Amino acid sequence: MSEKLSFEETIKKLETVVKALESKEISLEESIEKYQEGLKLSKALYEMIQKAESLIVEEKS
Amino acid sequence: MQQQKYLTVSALTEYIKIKLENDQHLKRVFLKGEISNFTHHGSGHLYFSLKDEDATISAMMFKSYASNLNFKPKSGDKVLVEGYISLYKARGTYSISIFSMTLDGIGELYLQFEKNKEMFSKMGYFDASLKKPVPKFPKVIAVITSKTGAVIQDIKTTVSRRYLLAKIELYPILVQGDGSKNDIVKALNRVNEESQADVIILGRGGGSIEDLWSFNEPEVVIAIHQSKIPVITAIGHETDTTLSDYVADLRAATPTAAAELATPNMTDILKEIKDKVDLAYYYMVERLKNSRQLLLNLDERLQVSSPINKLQLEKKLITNLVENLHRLYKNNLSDKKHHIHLLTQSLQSPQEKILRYRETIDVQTKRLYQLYRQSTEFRHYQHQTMLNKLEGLNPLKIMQRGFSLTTKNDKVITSIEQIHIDDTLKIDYKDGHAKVKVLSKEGKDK
Repeated sequence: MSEKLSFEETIKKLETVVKALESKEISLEESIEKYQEGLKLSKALYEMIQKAESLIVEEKS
Repeated sequence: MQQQKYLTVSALTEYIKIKLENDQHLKRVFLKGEISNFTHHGSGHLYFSLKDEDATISAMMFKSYASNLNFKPKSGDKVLVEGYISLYKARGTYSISIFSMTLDGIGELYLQFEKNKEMFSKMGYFDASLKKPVPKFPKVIAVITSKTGAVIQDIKTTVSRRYLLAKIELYPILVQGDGSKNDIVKALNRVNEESQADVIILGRGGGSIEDLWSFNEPEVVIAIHQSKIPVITAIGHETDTTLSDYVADLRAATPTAAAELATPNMTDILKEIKDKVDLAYYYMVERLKNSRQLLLNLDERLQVSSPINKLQLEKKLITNLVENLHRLYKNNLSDKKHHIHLLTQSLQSPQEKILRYRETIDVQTKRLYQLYRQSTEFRHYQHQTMLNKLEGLNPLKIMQRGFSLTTKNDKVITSIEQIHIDDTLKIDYKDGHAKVKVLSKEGKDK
């Protein structure tokens, strides 16, 4: 997974993953793969937000 | 002889007239004064007086000269005239005969001012659409004004108070008199050609209309009009408006006001920056909040659509299938069992039949027995009844009560008819019998 993606791009990717998972046609094997990818993306996104929040607080104080 | 000393009025007047009209100073007089008692005669000649605070002189202007006037004279006008002094004998008055007249000073200048204003206005120089915006944050402010004087000082003070980032360039000019007009035009052109200035302030302190006149000159108006850099004017006092003010992009009442128009207030800027920072912070927080919400939603969906759930679903499906299988198998089995049961039941039926028959037999037997008993009891009862009856009928018993039994040849006699005289009868008593002979017989009356 490329680390250079922006928040928006990453969240778009996560959305695609979730949509794929939500689709009824996906096979179990595929869904496990997608789910793991989704977890990774979600973690990365939380980290991005947390980083951004910490930066903001620094600026403010 | 004594009369010789006296002159006639005419002679004296003539003398004075010759004196007056031959005087070199009075042949061409430049005079300034205020018109009063103005009359425009039907002939086309003008008659009026010229006066100042202390004196009055009659004046007249012939039609031929009057037709060259560039204004319509009226009482109260201050004028500059050129003429000669003449004397009118019939009335004994002297007057100035005028051949040229212009409005004096301010009057004339106003006239020109109005003419030029109209001209430039018609040319569109004052159109609001031509006004260039003054940049909010100037780096360089070019000030065109006197090297000395309050204007540059006021501007410097104001700019340093409000906006230290702006650099001030002074382009010194003569603000009045000869050369002033050219100075202004040159300075404007120079700023446009070589300066990095973002805005020009053209300034001059207060003064009379004559003092401010350079700023009404068409050349100056044109130079301002042609300037690519926006021009703010601050000329004279607030009540004075020059053509430069009209053509400028902005007009300020004072040099201080001009400097304020040219610069932002640092305090305002700082507040604006603070507001913007606050706004940015707010937006950022909102943005993050939204992003977080978006992520939370997605994450929730991710968790919901996790393969674990899918697996559980599949598992449940399988369990259901297995259950179904079991159930179906069991059902099938129990069906079979039932069938067998039914069959078995039908198989067991003979035994039951036997039982049933046995029961029937039992019942019948019982019934038989009962019937028999009932029957014997009845008989017994009947018998007893009979016995009792018999007992009652027993002749011995009757005899015991005194009755006797009469027989003839072992036949019981119940009627007299059976008896005949001399028959031997046997009479039984309870305790023995006797043989008797019938002696008589008598029937009872019926």
